[in-house]
Amino acid sequence: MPPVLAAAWEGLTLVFTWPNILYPIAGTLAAMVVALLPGLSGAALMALAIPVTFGWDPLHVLLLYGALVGGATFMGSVTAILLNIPGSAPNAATLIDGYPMAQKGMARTALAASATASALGSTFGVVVLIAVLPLIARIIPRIGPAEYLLLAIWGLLAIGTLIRGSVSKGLAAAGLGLMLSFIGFDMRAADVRFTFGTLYLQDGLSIVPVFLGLFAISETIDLIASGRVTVSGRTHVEELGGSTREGILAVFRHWGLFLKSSVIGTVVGMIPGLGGTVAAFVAYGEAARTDRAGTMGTGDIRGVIAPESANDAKDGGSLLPTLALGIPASTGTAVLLGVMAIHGIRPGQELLSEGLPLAFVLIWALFLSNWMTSVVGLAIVRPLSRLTIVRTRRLIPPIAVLALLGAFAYRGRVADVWVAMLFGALGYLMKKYDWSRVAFVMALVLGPLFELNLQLTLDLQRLGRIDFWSRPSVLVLLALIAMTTVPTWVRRRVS
Amino acid sequence: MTEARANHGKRGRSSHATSGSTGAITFTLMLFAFTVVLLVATRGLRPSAAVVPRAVGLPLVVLLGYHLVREILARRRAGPAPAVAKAERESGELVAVPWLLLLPALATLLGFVVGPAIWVVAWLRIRGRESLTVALAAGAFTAVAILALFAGLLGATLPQGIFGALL
Repeated sequence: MPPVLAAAWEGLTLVFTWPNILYPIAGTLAAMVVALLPGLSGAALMALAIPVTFGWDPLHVLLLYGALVGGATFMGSVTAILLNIPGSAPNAATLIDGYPMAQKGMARTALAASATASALGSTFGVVVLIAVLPLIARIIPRIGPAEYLLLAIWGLLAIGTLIRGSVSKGLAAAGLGLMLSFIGFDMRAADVRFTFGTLYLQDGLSIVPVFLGLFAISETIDLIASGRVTVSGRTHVEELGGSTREGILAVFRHWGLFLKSSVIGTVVGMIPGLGGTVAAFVAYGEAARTDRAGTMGTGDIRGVIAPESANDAKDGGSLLPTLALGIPASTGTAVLLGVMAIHGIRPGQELLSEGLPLAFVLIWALFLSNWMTSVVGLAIVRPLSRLTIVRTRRLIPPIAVLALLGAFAYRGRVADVWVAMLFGALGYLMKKYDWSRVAFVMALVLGPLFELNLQLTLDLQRLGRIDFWSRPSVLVLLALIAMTTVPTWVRRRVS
Repeated sequence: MTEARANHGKRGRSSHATSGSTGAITFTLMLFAFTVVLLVATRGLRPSAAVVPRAVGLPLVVLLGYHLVREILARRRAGPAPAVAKAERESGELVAVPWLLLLPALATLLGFVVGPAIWVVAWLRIRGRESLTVALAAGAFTAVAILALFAGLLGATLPQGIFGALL
């Protein structure tokens, strides 16, 4: 048996040995509860758990943290689909189509598709992780500002395909998102921008209160203003359409989209600093690009499958640089690296040779927790979908209170609550007057990545440290961008 | 008429405003003015910090200006929006906005446990037309849930609010 497979088997045996299995189960359950609370990410829970693990065996620590990395991902989509509240930032891409599905009485289908895409997406990410782990140490250092820049451009160009209705209005919304992404301290120029003398804005706008405002609070205003009786427009469970089976099968019916989104998620996950939000939005953009029916954004199941599979596939990808090079790919993996350091586990060559079974313990715990959340999610799809027939006058208090606490809990700042309220009003007006909120948030997420790496690439090129056009990865990315973007623009122009 | 149908009727009523309304013009004007302010603010920045915001901001101002003109022209062509639907929606907005502003205001004044609990009681009693017992029970549940989840499970320190310490 090859050494990698032998280590994988040993790691799997360690996970399923009693009482080891209790650690990933406990971690998954804790992550599931926290993921339902908007604004609180898995990373926050991971940080909170550090003091608990001080006296633990490193094996048990990895079992717990593997589950904490993976357990939160799917559950965040539950509130996104049912209440238009993203459980965490990446789930904001899921609500674009997930919530309209719930409004059509198809919450069951959306939740089941989300759970299935999550489980299979994470499986894809873990398979790639196992396959690429021995090679990754040579690949990651080759990714630099030029590649980051092209990824950001890819995402920004995808905005053009997401816009429904007036293209110029969509572009203006994206422009506004970009302008707001420039708020805060510009590290490269050592200057503060658009803070108007306030300390609060020096860190830039925090994504979580902005998302909660744009989607959850604006939706609450809309629910009250429209006088809607329930979210789905139905009052009895028999009137709800869709089914769990339909949702599961939808992922297999759109297997091409699932695979493409999982590849995007894994690749974006591997790249340090990008994270699940970029993965989910880039995958959503790619799904919208191939939407010939023009139904994306109106409650299309593909709009749920794409971001959810990418978001979960990213977990496997993000462990690659973490385990192989000790480079965190996300906030969660940064906390994980800290915990590993506390317990004397050193990532890199040592972990990938003698410590390989231990690395696999982490990978299997992640895999197990991803599947556990999805299986539990599928089991409770029916009762969860009943939320869409609850009277809005009873539903508004939990939505509003969760949004308020979520905005506060992310950074512990009361000002974030008021920012969420402000963006709630903005989101409502954007929705009312047909300005694309999706284009706005995508530009807001990708703006800093685009600007920093544009300037770094130009500097490096000017100083002769890189030759942009001779980098194979740049050429591959440019070809991918051209292949995915040009035909869509041409098709749009022709139609 | 079934309740579901009635509900659909209400949804129909909520169809969003199209271009050319006073609201649409005002909103576009606000976005335009905000972008102009940001663009003017780039004058005080170092050149390297200002270059990208200007490259985005200048075409954005032109684009928003174009939309502003389009909205004004659309209003001239179409005339005022149907009064009944507009008035109903606007009265809904006048209810929604103060209620939602009350929540963070209460949280800031009375803290993140008492404030939301009082808001839930008030909402359910006044807007939800629930009995006082149900509203109070929901308020108590809100306080306990916030304490258990945020303070207990996650160890978060919830602000007591400006007057919270006195309670």
